[in-house]
Amino acid sequence: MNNDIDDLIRDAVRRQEELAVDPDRIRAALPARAARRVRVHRTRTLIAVAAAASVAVAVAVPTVVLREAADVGVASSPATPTPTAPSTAAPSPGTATAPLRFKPTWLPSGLTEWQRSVPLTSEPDTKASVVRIWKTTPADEIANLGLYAYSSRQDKSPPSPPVVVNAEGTTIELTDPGREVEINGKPGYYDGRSTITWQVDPATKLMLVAPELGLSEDDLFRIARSVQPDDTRLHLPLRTGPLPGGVVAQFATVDGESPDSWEASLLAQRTMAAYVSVRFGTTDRVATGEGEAVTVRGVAARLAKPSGDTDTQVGYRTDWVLTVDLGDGRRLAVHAGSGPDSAAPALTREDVLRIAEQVELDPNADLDWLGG
Amino acid sequence: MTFEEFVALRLGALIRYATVVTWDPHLAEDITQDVLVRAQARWSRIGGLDAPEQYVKRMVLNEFLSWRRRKAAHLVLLPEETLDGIAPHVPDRTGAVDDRDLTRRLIAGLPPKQRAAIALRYYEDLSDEQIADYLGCRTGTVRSYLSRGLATLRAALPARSVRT
Repeated sequence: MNNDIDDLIRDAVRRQEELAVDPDRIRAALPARAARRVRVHRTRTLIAVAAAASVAVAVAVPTVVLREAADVGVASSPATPTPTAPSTAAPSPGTATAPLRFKPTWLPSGLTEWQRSVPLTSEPDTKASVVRIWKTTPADEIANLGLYAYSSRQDKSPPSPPVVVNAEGTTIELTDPGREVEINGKPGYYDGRSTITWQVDPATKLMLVAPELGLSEDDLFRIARSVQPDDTRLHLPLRTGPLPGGVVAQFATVDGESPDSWEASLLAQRTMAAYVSVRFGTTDRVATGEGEAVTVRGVAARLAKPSGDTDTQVGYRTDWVLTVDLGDGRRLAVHAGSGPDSAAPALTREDVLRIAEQVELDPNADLDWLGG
Repeated sequence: MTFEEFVALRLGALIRYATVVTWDPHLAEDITQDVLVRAQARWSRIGGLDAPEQYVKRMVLNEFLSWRRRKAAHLVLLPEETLDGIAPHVPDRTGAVDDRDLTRRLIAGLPPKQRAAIALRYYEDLSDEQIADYLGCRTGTVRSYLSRGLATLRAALPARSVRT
């Protein structure tokens, strides 16, 4: 070999480039990443608010990277469960359930299911995942076990032996550099730490992630190998019809500690121009008691107009916060906002009140899985 | 260009860039996700720039350099003899080590700014002035990074691999 050093370096960077992970995997994980970032922010905000004895509480729902798509509504009446769809199918208009597709049939003791999230758009290139998350301690923002199902063709990324350096520039070889694996005969990759990704069918990848959970490698693989198709459908406790401002429903999430402590949320957006989030549940993540007194659904409510709030929903300025105490410990909140630099709100006061009036709520949705 | 369009068109290039800059696919994935979440929140401004991709790449670089400061305590040091096995200071005259693989591992062992400068020069084909702008330093400092990085590689690579 008689390469000069420039050739060797150029060859090395090209070889390094080939180790890049599958972009689909990053795209699929973005909603959860955004949600985690917002939740951490929210926690910090809550701490700060408590310290200041303020009543302001930041609330946010995950932002998701999705193409605008057909307007897919979610109806309130529980539909008869149907067999698992062959792909990451979004719920059809007129249904109040969405397929969960996969589940682990074995979990270490102490883990309880805490969150389910489903895409609400039927775009074929949708990259949002069906997400199920288990935790040992719901209050823990980081440690969790997540199963993500997303559309992706065969993984082209090769196994990647990482070589990293410490702050002093010293080369460090990880104790386990990651490797190709098989999960029930399907090709996959284990990163040597907390993530296993495998091609469960020709169009779908599963990603099992257990950050900061302290699981042994054996347990992580046991969970992965226990994953089976699941025809369970997520019952969504809220439905919106067509929304004003050109926003389109993107995904819905149900999370909580138990059937008595939960929140369902739905995010709709016109990308970077307008958003609406509707939250319904028993938790009190949205402060009430501020703003203009209004009547919604026959009960007293408050409509606040925050000034310059860009924290509640990542990427947007929140223009309106409507909170409704429905009694029996149930709350409804509607947030609406615009692009951060837009001159005027994308949705009017009347738009927000109409959404709150028209949203259909199902307080009896099956949420027995929470905490189970 | 909307954020979705940017992600659809440029995510592949961005993750490859991050993999070269960080020299660690897992870290690149982590940083790219983090940067995209933050970029999305500011896309009304970033998307209006003449070169949004360059801006996002700069975010990746900055995140990498700051990440290393935050995460250094999480890494585990190996004994010196193990490091020698990865990046021998004595030229390997046996020819048993693949020169290309050795080069890749040697680059991984360079200090981060030297490595970033090499990535920006050899992967992005940037000039000294452009690299200085990215790294927030003077042009002379960039030349020093590159010179010292190349010197380290020359010293460690087998003589048969380096034409002088």
